[in-house]
Amino acid sequence: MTTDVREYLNEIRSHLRLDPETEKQVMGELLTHFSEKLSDLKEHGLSQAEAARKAIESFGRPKVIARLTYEAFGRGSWSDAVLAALPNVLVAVLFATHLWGNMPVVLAALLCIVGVTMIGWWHGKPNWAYSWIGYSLAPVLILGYMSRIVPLRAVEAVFWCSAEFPGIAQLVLVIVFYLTALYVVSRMAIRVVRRDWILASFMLVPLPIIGSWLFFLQRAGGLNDSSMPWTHLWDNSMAMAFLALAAASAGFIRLRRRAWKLAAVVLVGSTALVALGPVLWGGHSLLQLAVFFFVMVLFLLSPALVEARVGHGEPGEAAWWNRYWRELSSVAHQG
Amino acid sequence: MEEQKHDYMPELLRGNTGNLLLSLIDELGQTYGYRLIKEIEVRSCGFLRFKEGTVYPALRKLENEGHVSGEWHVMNNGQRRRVYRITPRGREVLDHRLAQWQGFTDAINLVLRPNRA
Repeated sequence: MTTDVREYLNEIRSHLRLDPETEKQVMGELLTHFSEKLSDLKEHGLSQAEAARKAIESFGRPKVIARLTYEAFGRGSWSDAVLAALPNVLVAVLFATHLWGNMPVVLAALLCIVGVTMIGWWHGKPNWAYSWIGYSLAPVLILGYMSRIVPLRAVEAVFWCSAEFPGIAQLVLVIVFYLTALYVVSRMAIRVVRRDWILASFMLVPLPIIGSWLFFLQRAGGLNDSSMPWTHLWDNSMAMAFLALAAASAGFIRLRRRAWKLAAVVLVGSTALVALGPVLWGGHSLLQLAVFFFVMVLFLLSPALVEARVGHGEPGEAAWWNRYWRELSSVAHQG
Repeated sequence: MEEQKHDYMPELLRGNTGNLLLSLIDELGQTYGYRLIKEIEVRSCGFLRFKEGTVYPALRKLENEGHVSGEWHVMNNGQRRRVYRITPRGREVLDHRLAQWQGFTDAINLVLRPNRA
């Protein structure tokens, strides 16, 4: 098979956005088609180059083929939709029952989330697993937020002499935690973006809401003492927001087209955050809420920019494709 | 038979690609994408033409909906080919769609050519 065919199929593959195993199957079928088509055209007297050109022309535009293929595999089952919604429902229940401050209950929920995440990761990271992966990142966010006091105090002590310098061991521990968390989270995020950037958006959607709630909690003085009654005043609003995310997650799995999936996650996530705005941050003007909405939309679309830098497909996949191409090409030449 | 010049709205074919594929798979028993493409072109005397790459997502859609089942076969030259068969559910869906199509075309013909009804 010719370089033109390989480049053409590479272009289809670059737009596919499926899990690696499914991508292999799809590309295998297309390779076989081209092998047979080229053989037929050469039997009719065409040269290798003419046959390749005709085969490519009759196959269709790569982006269209990739889009149709994505849509053929795009709709998950109802059970996948329920699985994707579950972590959001779990967090909603924690707020609705006012148990988010109960450490044993929270730890049990966290263990459940991490456990299911690991099961999903082990089983090839189906789309529903990315909802759980997002919540697995929440403890990192919470710990990072709570421990920011240590480096802040160090900075205040050094530059303004307005605070006592924290212990060296404590400072080193926090810095090591930040660097490790940054490394692990960024590696994971890049890996997800390489697979499909809208899965990264799907994964990240609950984090700004959790972050906003932490900010509210700290302002209300409840970060260290959740028994203060006013820290539970907005539990029902938070529960509703996470239930909205649950519906958006189920929609993400069940909708077939990429644009609709993205709209479900971005619009619902942004709207939920802005709806919580007056609750969590105090009164805000319409303009300020619009700015928050816009910032959230940008945040959830930012994985697209990351993909433009890092590309699509995991590094090992290029090796698989090159090897598969060589095998198929040598078999086609023998045939 | 002479090849007929194709002049129809693409939406007509797009809306019926699944039915064409399902019907051929049912008739042929066990078949694969490239053969289906050639069969459609030959049987329609070249009238029905579409971008060949669109057949494969359509086949996968039928498979994911449970209307056909697919499996890999290794050919004599060592290449692997995905082969499709219709499922019982696929046969039910096909029968229903064929009945719908027949009723639809009869009704259209009654309106367009009432004197020949």
